[in-house]
Amino acid sequence: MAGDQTPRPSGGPDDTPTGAGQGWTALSYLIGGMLVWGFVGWLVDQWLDTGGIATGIGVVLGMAGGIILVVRRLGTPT
Amino acid sequence: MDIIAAVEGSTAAIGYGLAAIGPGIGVGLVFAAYIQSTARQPESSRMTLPYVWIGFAVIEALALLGIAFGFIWQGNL
Amino acid sequence: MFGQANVLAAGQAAFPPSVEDFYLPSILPWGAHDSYWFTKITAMVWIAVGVLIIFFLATYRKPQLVPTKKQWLAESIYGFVRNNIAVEMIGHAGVRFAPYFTTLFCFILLTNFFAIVPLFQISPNSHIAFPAFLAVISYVMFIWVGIRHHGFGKFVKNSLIPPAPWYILPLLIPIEFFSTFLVRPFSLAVRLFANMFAGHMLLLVFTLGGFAMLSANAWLAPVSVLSWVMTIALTFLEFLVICLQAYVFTVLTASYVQGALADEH
Repeated sequence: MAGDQTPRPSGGPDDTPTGAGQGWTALSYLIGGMLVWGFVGWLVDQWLDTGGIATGIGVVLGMAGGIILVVRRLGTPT
Repeated sequence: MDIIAAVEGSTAAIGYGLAAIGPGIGVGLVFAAYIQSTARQPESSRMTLPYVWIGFAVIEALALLGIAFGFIWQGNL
Repeated sequence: MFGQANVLAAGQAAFPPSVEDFYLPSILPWGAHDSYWFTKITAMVWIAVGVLIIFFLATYRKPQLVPTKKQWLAESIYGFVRNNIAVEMIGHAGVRFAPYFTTLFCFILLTNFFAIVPLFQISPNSHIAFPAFLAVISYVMFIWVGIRHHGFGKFVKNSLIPPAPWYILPLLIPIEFFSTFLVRPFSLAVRLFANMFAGHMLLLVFTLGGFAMLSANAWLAPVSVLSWVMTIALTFLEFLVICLQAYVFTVLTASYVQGALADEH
């Protein structure tokens, strides 16, 4: 019954952002998480001379953080 | 042992190409399912969109990890 | 601009266009090379500002109930930004930001549009300084609006602390900080700048490439026509990019303001 849905009033205060906006938010959280913690890991690498291991751990951690953020911010059904 | 064939340049690029196949298919499936369900039942989009983002994030993470590891361990390890 | 035309006519334009082509010679000390105080870019920005002020003053000087043509144009631009950007993104609170968004939208649209207007043919936004400053205004605005609306502590808490258990917060807060306060102004500025820069570069490549092939040898000379046809086709593509980028910049600013005004996530 596509016809009889009530048209959503545009611009209500409880509007979720548009789909494209959410997509960019999701992608930027993932990339942002990777970059931030990857950078921290890289710094640790330079400090302890671990040859890339710490950067890898940082990237994985950051990615986990990014996923958590996406799930929390966008993935909770309203 | 004789070398029959050799690859020059970064093998990490080949690795990332292989690693991107899976997430590519996965992201395609997620959005295909979302588009189809929204086309069948438009009012369900508010309900399904959050799960789209969860699935998208988890799948896209693999592709992004692939590109990151390609840069980090380029040549060593 | 006359210098460029002369160079083209003399057939000695350096073919692969470079960043140097974006630094136009100075106007006020005419033709000076190291003086950037008043160039064609500066003139275009002032022209854009002047045109916008005069246009909106002239169209809205005597507003009538049944709008005249010019008044209709101005009102439909303002109405578009107010309804389709401000209210759509922010909600009813967005109406008070509509004047700024309209100004921003018109300014970016007009300065972008100079990229394909004959005799102007370069957009001021293809220099990073102008998009960067517009992005700084948006950045300061959404922070200021957020602080005004929530108070400093609550704004920082709202924008930095996601709803998550406390033990993963140390992992998440740097990511939030990075993506909210560092990436936003950067991506705003770079998106607009890169689009206009690349568009101008693309047109230059095909125009100058036509001249280069014309003067290369007899076999390549007919191909230069193809190159110029491509230039015309790409000009239409440029027009699309121009409108899209002006819209995207305004919409993103609106969505940042919306994020700053939003209560709880």
